[in-house]
Amino acid sequence: MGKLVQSQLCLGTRVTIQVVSTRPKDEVDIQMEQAFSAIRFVEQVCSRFDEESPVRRLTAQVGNPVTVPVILFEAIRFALQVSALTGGAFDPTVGQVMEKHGFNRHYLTGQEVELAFQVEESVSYRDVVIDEPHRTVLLLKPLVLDLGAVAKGLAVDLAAKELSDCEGFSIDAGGDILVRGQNPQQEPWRVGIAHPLRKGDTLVSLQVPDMAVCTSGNYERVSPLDETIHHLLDPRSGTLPSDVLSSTVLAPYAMLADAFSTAAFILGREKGLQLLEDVGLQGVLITPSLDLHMTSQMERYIYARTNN
Amino acid sequence: MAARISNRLITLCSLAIGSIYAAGYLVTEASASVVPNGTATSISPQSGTNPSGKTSVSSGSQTGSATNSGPASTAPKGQTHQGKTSTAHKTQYKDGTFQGTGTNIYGTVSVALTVKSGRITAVNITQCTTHYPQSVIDPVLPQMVIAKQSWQVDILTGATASTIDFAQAVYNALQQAKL
Repeated sequence: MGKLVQSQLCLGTRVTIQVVSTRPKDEVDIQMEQAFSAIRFVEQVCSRFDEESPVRRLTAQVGNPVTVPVILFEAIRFALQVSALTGGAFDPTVGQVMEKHGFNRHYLTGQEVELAFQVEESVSYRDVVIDEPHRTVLLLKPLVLDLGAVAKGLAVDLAAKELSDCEGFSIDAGGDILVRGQNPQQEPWRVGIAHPLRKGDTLVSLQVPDMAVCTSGNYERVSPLDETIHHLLDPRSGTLPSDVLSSTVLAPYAMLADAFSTAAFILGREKGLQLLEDVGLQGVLITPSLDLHMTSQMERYIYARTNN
Repeated sequence: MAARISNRLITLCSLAIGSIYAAGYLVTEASASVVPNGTATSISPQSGTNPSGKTSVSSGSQTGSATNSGPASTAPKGQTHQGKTSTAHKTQYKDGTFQGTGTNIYGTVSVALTVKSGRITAVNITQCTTHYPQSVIDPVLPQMVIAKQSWQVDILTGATASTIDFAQAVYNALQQAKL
């Protein structure tokens, strides 16, 4: 089995793909490049930080149904489904609240994105209406879509599709991880959950079959304007959930795992776990005391725990 | 009940990815950036390990399309609209030399980037105040920019901050080179 590893800068983070395959290196190289292309493509379409992106251009058109690229339509459709299922704990219209807190710079160019309109205070996912047959999106109010949680997962899922001929691979997009097959040691892949308080350390490691593992943590992105504000705001109140430090969810698709790890984080320990049980996904929430709160079937994926 | 919801969500994901694929989403991007099979051996996208001295390896990448795997020809209408959203590899550059700088808390990298006949032909690192010496990123990253004709280089293991500075510098230089 040959092993190839490559890292690129996309999605505002470092994305690393590792492939374990008996296939010739040339072929694997091409598929890896296609996987990265898929990720960059999703980024181009769905980035809130790029004035030219289709999602940004959609923001400028209120009251008219707009035909959007398929990727954007699917990302919005999925985000709205999750919004409805979580009663708005997950909500892609949280964009302007994020921008108000200074999450408004392109990670690479450092350029600020400017809002071209006055934002109404109360918007929600109900102000976004999609028309499936015509593939259009209608914004009822001026709002900024933040598809971060869905788009990143979608990018990883599309990259995985590009790599489907390879026996084993892992895609690590900073918080969104998807594994298939076996690792270079011919074992199921192991995925670490970061220690929420000690950067660089692992608190728990999981051993998982073909699966996406996504973690939302309050330590990852902090507002440049106020360091007590992180990037996981409750869309319903604009406040910061505080009773968990991180939330990890397992699912067959990264877009699913990411959306629900975000929602569970925002709902907090009790309601978050309840949501996962209701929906039928496995996950673990970590509290400030570093206790693990797991769904009913989660234990079987735990490979090792460190002693804090 | 729980299983029903997760199954429905999984089906939704599967449908979403299926319809994105059916629309031939990679038509523009992948065909522009992927090297046709026959010449694949001359390029090593693997960073660091193989700094082949062939800076002239740039290939006719605009024309390659043999390796695209999506069922593009069966895509329904609307596909052309989709394809147009990808402009990264279609961007036209004017000839000349352009300066760009990238900065983060770990330091600064500046480049002078030369465009001839619309192609990036040289990237000189004119300033490098990062933690690591310039030799860590030079000539690997400039060569990669020329090979890929893009600022989107691979991250060098252990030199993430330098790589990001460099990519930002090249991006800024290319912004000025845009027609």
